[in-house]
Amino acid sequence: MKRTLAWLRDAIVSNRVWRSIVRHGYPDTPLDQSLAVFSNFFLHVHPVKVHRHSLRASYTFGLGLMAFYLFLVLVVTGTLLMFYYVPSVERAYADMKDLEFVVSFGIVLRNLHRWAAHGMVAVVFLHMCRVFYTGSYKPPRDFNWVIGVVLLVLTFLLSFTGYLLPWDQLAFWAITVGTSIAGYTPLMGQRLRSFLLGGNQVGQNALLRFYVLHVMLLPLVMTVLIGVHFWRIRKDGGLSRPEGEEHARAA
Amino acid sequence: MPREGEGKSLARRTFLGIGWGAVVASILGMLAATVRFLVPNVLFEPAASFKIGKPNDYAPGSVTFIPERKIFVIRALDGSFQTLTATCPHLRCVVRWIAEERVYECPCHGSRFTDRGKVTAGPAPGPLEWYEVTLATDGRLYVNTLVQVRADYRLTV
Repeated sequence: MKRTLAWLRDAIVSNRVWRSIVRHGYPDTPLDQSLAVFSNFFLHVHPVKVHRHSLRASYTFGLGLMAFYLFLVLVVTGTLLMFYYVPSVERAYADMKDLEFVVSFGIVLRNLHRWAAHGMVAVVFLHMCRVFYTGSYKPPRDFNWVIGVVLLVLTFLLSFTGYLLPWDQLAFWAITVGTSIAGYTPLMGQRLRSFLLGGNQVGQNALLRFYVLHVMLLPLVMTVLIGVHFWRIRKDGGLSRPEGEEHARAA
Repeated sequence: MPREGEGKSLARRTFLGIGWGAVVASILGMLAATVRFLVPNVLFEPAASFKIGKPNDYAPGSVTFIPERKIFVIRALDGSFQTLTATCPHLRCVVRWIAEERVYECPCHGSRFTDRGKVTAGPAPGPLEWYEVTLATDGRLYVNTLVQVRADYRLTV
């Protein structure tokens, strides 16, 4: 058994194809373990080694990662919903109802998308609270706080643009009210409102604009800024953590 | 020294086996559900059977193309009806009726068919198909494209 497994491992690992993808050896030495993380696109975001105090879960509660995972859930479920949803005033409401009552597992995906969206707003808010109460917004992390605020606003905008898409009474009046609020912007209010709606009322142009913003532009900006946000965590001295036992004793 | 609970409770290896098994099972289930989601349960396509008007709408000895149904309605000189598909059996382009030569020709890849639907040239693998046409109780012609009939099938009215 052991010999068979060893032979199998060599057969998989000792060929040109595998060696062209994976450049490090079997991760049973500290160097190869580091390289396994370092030379992998998906893992390299994370540091090879973390501070012992970063492992204390109750310090961050993993809220940032939770928000990120909810974003991933929203991307996956949203992409699948796009296969059945047509952003036209004739079809949008019926397509949404079909997703609930006709399409297999449609209601699961729609509800996953809806609850993940609500959850993301809540978790992003809690993440912001955590960062504030642990003082993690202070230098050198002050710029990452600013990016975080932009990400919060993007989360709200994604929620708001997604609000219109079911094209029911709630959606229609929510966007009527929301874009009217934008109309109170000094000097350019009415121009801004008609720019958002693509017209003077909530109609086909508004639905299409909100759809394109919701499925394309805002997620793209969000993805880029999430990347920058994560990158800055590393550049600003790693995950925020308690200062440590020695400091705690001194204080 | 044996650790507490060892032996009588779940072994670590079994516990992890069940755990990872559950993770793999849930991922596979999710993938299966996603594939099923992408198979539509309702199609918003034109019906496969439909009415095409009264017999007197068609002159004896005529070939009439109905574009939205992609069929030809053929009325012989004796007044009997036949319906022929306009969909080329090669790659589903719509063939056209060339009255002067009495042939059907596919504009995509040049397949040619006789007025009886038999292929004479081009890449088409078989003849054009004939559909069942009957007289509905309201006196209108009723075509069912789900039922294919032989080339000698005729509706006499």
